[in-house]
Amino acid sequence: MSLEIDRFSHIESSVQRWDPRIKILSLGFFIFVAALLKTIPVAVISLLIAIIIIKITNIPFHFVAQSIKWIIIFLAPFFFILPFSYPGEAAFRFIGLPFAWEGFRLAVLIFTKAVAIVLATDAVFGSSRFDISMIAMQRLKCPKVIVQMVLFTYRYIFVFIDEVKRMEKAMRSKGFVMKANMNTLRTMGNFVGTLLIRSFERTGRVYSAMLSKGYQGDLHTLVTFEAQVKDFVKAGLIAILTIAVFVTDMINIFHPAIKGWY
Amino acid sequence: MSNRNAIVVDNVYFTYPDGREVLKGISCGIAHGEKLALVGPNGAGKSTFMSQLNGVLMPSQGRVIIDGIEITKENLTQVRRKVGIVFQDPDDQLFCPTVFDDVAFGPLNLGLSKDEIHLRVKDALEMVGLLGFEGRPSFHLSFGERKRLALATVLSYQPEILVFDEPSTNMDPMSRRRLIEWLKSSDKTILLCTHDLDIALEVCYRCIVLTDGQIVADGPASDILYDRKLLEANRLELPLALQTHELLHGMLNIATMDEDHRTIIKDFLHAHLHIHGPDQHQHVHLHAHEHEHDHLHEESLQDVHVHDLKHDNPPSGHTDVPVPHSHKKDKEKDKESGLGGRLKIRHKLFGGGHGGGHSHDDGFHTH
Repeated sequence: MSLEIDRFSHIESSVQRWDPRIKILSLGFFIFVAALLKTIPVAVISLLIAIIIIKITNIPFHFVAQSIKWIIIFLAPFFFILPFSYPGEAAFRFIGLPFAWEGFRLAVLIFTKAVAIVLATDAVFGSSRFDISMIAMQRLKCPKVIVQMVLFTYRYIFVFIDEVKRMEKAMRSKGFVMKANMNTLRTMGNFVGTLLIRSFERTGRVYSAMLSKGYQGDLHTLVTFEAQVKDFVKAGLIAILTIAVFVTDMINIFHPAIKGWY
Repeated sequence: MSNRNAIVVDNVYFTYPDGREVLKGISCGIAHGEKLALVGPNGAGKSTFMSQLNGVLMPSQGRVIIDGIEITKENLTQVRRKVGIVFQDPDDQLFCPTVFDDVAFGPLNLGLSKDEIHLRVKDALEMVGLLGFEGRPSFHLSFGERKRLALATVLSYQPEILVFDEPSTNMDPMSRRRLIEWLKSSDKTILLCTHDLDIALEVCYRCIVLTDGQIVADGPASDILYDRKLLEANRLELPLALQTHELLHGMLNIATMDEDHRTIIKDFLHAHLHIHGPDQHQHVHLHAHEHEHDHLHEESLQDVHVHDLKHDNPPSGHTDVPVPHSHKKDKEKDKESGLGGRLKIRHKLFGGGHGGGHSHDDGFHTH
């Protein structure tokens, strides 16, 4: 599995060519609105918009599917928990538990919005080099501490994973087999603890290396952004769509997922 | 100790917050352009010493002076422009998304112009043989490439002093050789903190042995790295090349060895063992065939000069090359023995096809 979110940023498309600052603002607005939606049909519309945007980026489906896979793994339990736990009229009983359609609708709404948001996020960060996106965030006055933390976290995820693999190999070579017992718990506790200590020590060494090269708290870059009219046209288009989606949701054309849920 | 030195370390003590005293009164001076090896066992304090040189760690007591500037918290930026440290693990040093960004990091912090930064990045990558890698992610390079890139990230801001922490660790032989050749050809002040005594032998004129936070020996690399007793007393050992040479020469003295085997070893020694020092006047050639030459010296024996040394019966493929060198050590010895002035020095010429060279009667040491 590749963790490089920006591995298809080099592909030619109008989303890739979009000024990253304006792209982050526009699609960030779309993501924010998508998170607020209350009706399933409007959430589906936002999902369709997200699918169209990701389609324009030409990012391969298998790559996007990896992101969606995690959403499915994370949200699948909602389909089993919410219908049986959300207060509402019981449609039927399953193993003695009341099944409420309101709970199921809520699960569908959450899932639809989550997929739309993940696709839009993939479109934002998958269509520009990640460091460029972070620099754009910095230019948008995002606190530099946050920007640098995200940037370094992303950079060192790969080193961290290599370290995990090396340690795991060392454990297995010494005969460790994961079982449901105290020994496994103790070993995994030591494993995680060692990883944290190593990571902490590495941060110290990286910081020393940065200081050695004149780092004084700011990340300087040669990257320059130049917004053009077409960047604003794209932003306008997304803004219109987003506002339309939001207004449609607000005026309650469609029946909300949960009665009285706002 | 003169402040004109590139580095002056004056009675430096350093204690970590957990109470471990790692440096205990270190004093030394390193001249401009000098190549120094700092060797010592694990935990001797080499890395801590190294970190004092650009203020990453500040001494608990004592002072460090870089090119006449005593390091204080106020002048760290100025000092760090002068001292570049190449850390052992390249992953600690390559923290940017692309090769270009990593190499440009230092120059960007210096506030250089865009054109100057591009030029420096290009030059630095060219020096380490990574030109054309600019757009690649640093973490996707091989370990050897990452090591070279780590060097480029330091070279790009053009420090006058280069400090290397275990430069050859985990490098494949070709990458290691490239590094050695680069180090030998560099005119910068270089400090190698290393366990790899072979690289120290090839690159450095001078060697410091650090043990338990104290300097136990400081002198010519050609003395210290050949001193088996000193090295072993400090949990080190002779460089591998010298061990091999000793072993093979020892085998030549086995009386029962048949002539065929003896010839094979001689051929091997002649063909493969060339240990060059950092320059031509300080090196040995470990060849098995020996020729005696007499030389008369009338000039100052500190001067580097050239003998026109010739083999009487050179083996096939051998080329005699005049070798610039000096006889400072011989002069000192002769002074001790009451000789002086016009000296007659006898060499055993071991010769070689890679530039010639010689050693003295009393073993395979260098001038």
